[in-house]
Amino acid sequence: MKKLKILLFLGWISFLGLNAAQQINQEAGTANFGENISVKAYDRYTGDFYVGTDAENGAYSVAKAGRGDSVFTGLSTEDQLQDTISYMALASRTEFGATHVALHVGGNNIDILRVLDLSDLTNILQAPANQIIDAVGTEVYFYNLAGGYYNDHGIIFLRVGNNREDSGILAFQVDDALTQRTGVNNFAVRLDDQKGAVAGDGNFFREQSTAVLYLNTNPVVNDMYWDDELQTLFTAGSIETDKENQIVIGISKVKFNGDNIIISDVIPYNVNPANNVNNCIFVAQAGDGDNDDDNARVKHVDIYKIRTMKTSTNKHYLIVNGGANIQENEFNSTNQIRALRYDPTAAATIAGGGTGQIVANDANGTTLVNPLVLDGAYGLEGGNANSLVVGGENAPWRGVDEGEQSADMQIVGDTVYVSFNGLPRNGNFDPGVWSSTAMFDDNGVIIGWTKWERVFPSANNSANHEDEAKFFAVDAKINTVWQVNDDGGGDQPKIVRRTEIKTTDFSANSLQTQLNRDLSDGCSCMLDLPKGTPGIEGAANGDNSFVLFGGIEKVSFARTKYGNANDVTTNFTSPNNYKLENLPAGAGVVRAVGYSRNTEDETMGYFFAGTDTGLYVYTANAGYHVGFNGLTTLNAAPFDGTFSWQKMYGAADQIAGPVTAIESNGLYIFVVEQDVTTVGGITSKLHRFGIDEKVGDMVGTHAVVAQSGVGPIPANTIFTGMKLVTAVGAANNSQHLVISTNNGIFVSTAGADAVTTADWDQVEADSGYHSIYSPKRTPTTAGPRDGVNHKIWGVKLADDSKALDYYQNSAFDQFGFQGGNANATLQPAGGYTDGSAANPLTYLDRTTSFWSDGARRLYTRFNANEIAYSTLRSFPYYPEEWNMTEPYSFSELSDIPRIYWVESISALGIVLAGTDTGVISLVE
Amino acid sequence: MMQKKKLFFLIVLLVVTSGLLAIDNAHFYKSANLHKKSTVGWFDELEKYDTLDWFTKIDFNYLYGDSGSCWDKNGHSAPLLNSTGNYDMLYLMENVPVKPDFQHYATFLANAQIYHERTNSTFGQLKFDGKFELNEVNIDLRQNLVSGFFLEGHLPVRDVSLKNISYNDMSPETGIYNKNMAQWRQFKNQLDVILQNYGLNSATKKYSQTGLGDLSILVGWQGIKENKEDDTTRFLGLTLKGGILFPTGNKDKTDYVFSLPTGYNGHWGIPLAVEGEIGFLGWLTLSAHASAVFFFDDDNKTRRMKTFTKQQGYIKLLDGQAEEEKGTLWHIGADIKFDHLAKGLSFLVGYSYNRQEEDELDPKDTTHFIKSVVNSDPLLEAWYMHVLHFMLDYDFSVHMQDSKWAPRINVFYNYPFDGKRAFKTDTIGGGLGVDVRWKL
Repeated sequence: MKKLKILLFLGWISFLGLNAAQQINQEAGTANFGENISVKAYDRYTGDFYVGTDAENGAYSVAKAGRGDSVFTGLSTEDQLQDTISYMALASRTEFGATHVALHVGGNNIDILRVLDLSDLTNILQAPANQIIDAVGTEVYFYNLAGGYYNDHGIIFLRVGNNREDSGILAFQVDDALTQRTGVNNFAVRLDDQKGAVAGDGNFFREQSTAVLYLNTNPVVNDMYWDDELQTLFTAGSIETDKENQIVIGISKVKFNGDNIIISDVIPYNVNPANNVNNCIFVAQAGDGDNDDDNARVKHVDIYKIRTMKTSTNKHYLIVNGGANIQENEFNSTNQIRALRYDPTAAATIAGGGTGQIVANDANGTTLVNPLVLDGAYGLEGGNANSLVVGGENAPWRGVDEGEQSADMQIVGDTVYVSFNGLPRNGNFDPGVWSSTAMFDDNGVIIGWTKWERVFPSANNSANHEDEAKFFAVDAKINTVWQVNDDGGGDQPKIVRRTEIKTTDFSANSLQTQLNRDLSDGCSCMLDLPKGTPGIEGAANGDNSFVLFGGIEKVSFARTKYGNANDVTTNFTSPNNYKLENLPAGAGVVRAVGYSRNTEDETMGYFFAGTDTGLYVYTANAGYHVGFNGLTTLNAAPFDGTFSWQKMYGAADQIAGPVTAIESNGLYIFVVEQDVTTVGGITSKLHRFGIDEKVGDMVGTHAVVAQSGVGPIPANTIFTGMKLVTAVGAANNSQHLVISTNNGIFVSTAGADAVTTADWDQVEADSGYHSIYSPKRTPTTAGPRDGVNHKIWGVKLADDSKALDYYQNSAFDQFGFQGGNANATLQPAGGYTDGSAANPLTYLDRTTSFWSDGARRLYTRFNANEIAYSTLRSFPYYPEEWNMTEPYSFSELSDIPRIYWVESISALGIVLAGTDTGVISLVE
Repeated sequence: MMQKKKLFFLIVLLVVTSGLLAIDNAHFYKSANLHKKSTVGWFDELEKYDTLDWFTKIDFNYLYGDSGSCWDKNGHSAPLLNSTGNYDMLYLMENVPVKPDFQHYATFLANAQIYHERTNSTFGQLKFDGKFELNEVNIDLRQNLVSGFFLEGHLPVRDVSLKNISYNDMSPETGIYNKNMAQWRQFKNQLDVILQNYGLNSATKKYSQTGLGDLSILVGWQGIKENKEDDTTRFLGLTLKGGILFPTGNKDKTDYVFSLPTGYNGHWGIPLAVEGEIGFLGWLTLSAHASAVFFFDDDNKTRRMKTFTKQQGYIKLLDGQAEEEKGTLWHIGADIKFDHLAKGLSFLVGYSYNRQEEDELDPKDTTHFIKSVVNSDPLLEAWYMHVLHFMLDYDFSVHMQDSKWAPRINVFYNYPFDGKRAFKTDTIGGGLGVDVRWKL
């Protein structure tokens, strides 16, 4: 009996471990919300997370919780707010966070707008029914809400009416009272199914369209988003037509024109897709219905979510979920997240409509021309193929049926976050919160996106629903993620969780526990191999994902995703999922771990480790040191004793010193060797070895492709980091090498496969870089699946000593790469340290390691003057919007003396950091 | 009983009037020589010639000493050049302007070492060792005037050298930050280049300097009260003197990591001394002595100074002008002398406590140097040394009772047995002296 109790207790502990994130209770003693959470809003300035419920829930019908709160605070203390909350929006009378919450209270048929004053919960502003009127002056109900800040006032937008002929947009200004700011007679500005009476009035129908009769359904506004900086409201909706040549559009914009608002198109009225083009994302023209898909009679555009992105390179994009579809009941775009280049200065599409157009994604943001196409020089992509596909592919859930769109979306910095809760995990659906970050060319134009990566810790495999995120929010200040979901899978979300930092007390089954046991003397490096990486999967394990962790003469392998049903590993005590492999005695500290596939045999792969004593490879004990053929579990070949870590045969003569960086493109591996013998000078080398079935044969292809004092690289140049980048747009997306040094950044002018010591360009020659960081080189879905990345961050030495030349600070540089010869350019030009408009920080404390998902940015730091301090700081690129004038310090880490690396584990949704005693979780 | 009280009073008087070393004698790098003046010839024993009008004493001695160890800042035994503890290279560049530029490979490496801070281990620490050698000649002249007054001069000549300088890497053998880490190995390889960038010679370069020490000229008075009727207490003596110490010695060299001056590094001084003697039984003399040298500030001295509190050791990359307030040097001591035990042979055993208070630097360049940081340097803190002195000498005057002059010879050994922030340099030597009574 006692044993049974112990087993039950251990089981309970293990179960608890699955719910790593902290649940934020409705109130003390009540964990779950009493009613389903129906709406959410997030104030990034204060870090407050607001929710509303779909039925009366007392004071918690509307509630909020702050960054450090473990319980919500009920905001609906007044009876009139204790009801169904269907829509919610934050409004602010200042630039410093929300002051009011606009609410749609009472379920259906609501014609009174209620706005809660956050400084006085008894003060509820109201716009009466006679001010909620449609485009023809009839009192109507309202539906969507959006809000924000506008010229020292709060601003709220409502979509009113559901009749296809007279619905529209209303605006209310929030001060001590609400003031209608819409237009003439306070009638809503028209956003209905009418073809614009004035060319380009923002309606769903476009030029050439002839009659409303050919609309199959009422047009629907799915989403509205107000951008404080652009002072523009963007609306996104669904519309369908079955009449040849009818043109429908899913996005409009609303701006102020004097005291009133005006709705207008986001592209000139005469710019439209041809009828044989069906993939212009937000606009489509019906065809002749000759059963050719391109010419389908039925065309519909469904934009479910819309947000704006201001990139670190100061470019604007509209991020949308959805797109154009052909055939009735076809919803292939529900899992499409797309970026549309937006120029807020482009000419107004109608008089008084205000500037701003969707433009081509090229260097100049060229105005679109008729006929509109997706690709090509004047198309939406602006010649940058696939640059508008966020995630590089569709989001990780099937997009076939209506309802399979994202549940929530948030843009922070250069990163798009979306969540999916539509269906439980299986081979088609991978619910959770996902992110993808933009990568730029030398003009700061987006030319690619990182692969979708999970950002909220996955709780389990297909057995439950905890990953099905109805709502979420990413807090880039303190690096947390909020999530709202229904663990029961019934779309009755009552649970709010928030990730936390965790340094101890990991569950027994967790990856962290295994690592802290086996790498208790330090975890020096790691390598995440996301799902889809060639060579690590098999027929029964198409979803395989692995992570390698380097320590002192050992490497731990973890399988983080497996099977073909999007299963996420939760039990790392299983030998299938975790294995420690020692390097030979005397190998020294593993400073870098690498992986290479073999492009000649996609089932073959190789693991490499760079140590203080040279280059090691994980190879067969017998034979000719061949690579492995596919991976299944960590309890099967090659992890069954037939392989081991061995010093790379023959390479000893070519690599005599420590190895500090390894990269591979499947044809070659590239290895940075440090010179530790020369006195009075220093020589770093970059070696290239051709990948061969027999590792022993690789040494025959050896070449030194970069060396201090040879070619354009000055003598005594220290190679501090090395990355492979893809020159998007070049032939076969050729790959180039980037080296960070004490003398700037060197970029290979020739492809990595052919580069010689003569083929290097120096950029930012006056800077010295301590290290570089890049997003993971994640595989593309289409061949050659060689991994795409064309963005790096350089951590450079900087001087904040007021001309004393101490260079005891750091700054971040972000580089974009030109297609073709991969010339690197600082993007943004002033560096990447602080995008604040006023008094930006130019220098940070000394930094060794940097991590960013494009939005959140963490860096290890120290100040030698401090005795006790936290080693980690957070500093998003636009700190102003997070109410930050200086980096955020993590007090939870004051006992962590060193952090060697920070990286996300793509399959698990956690962020780990390597320490002297193993790992800690920064997102758990 | 009364006599005992007098004796106790005399000893107390000597102690409370003790000051600093009266001449260029004690240094942290060597044991002090015997502070007591050399034996005075007895000749015919008609009187104590110590205070004879116009009596002249001339002494030369030579001594040699070496050491491979020191007492560190905690008073523990340590390698010679490691008195401050291991040199923490992680902070070497802290608050130091980069030279020639921050991209220079050696500077870049040095600057990067700070990135390994807070390793909670000995990573990045070097333990320095070496050997110190000293050859010293001392010239002393005492010319009595009248009524016990006298003039005294002292001039040392020294050859000091530091050689066999080396260091051990104290970084751990294991751990992520260990002695095999590439960046650390590269730093060590380029250490001399880094030092060169800042105008320093190699850390292991031998240092040697020969030159005068600091000349001192003093005026004093000595009084002796003889009591020939008392077989027990035969005499009481008191000597007081004071003068000027001239900075004739060579200063240390700021382009050497390890450098020593031959004197007190350019400071003028005011030496004061007192000595009391009591003679018993005609052959036993007890003496107590004390001295002090009060140094004048040097208001414009080039010194290598700390730029960061956690720096320790002799390696300091940045130099600058500073006003140096040199700590007062003082000693107290006592001797037992078995006087003319057999003919002219005497034997002396003595003890002295020698101490120099902490130096203080006031940097002129307050942009790069912070006074509190500069003065946190353990090398500026007070040092002390306990020394036992042994001497045998032979006074030939007992064989030349009718001569105007007589020679003396001696051999001596000075053994430092405890100390703090001081080299364990024992010295051995011999001397030749001449006493001249101009008028028989």
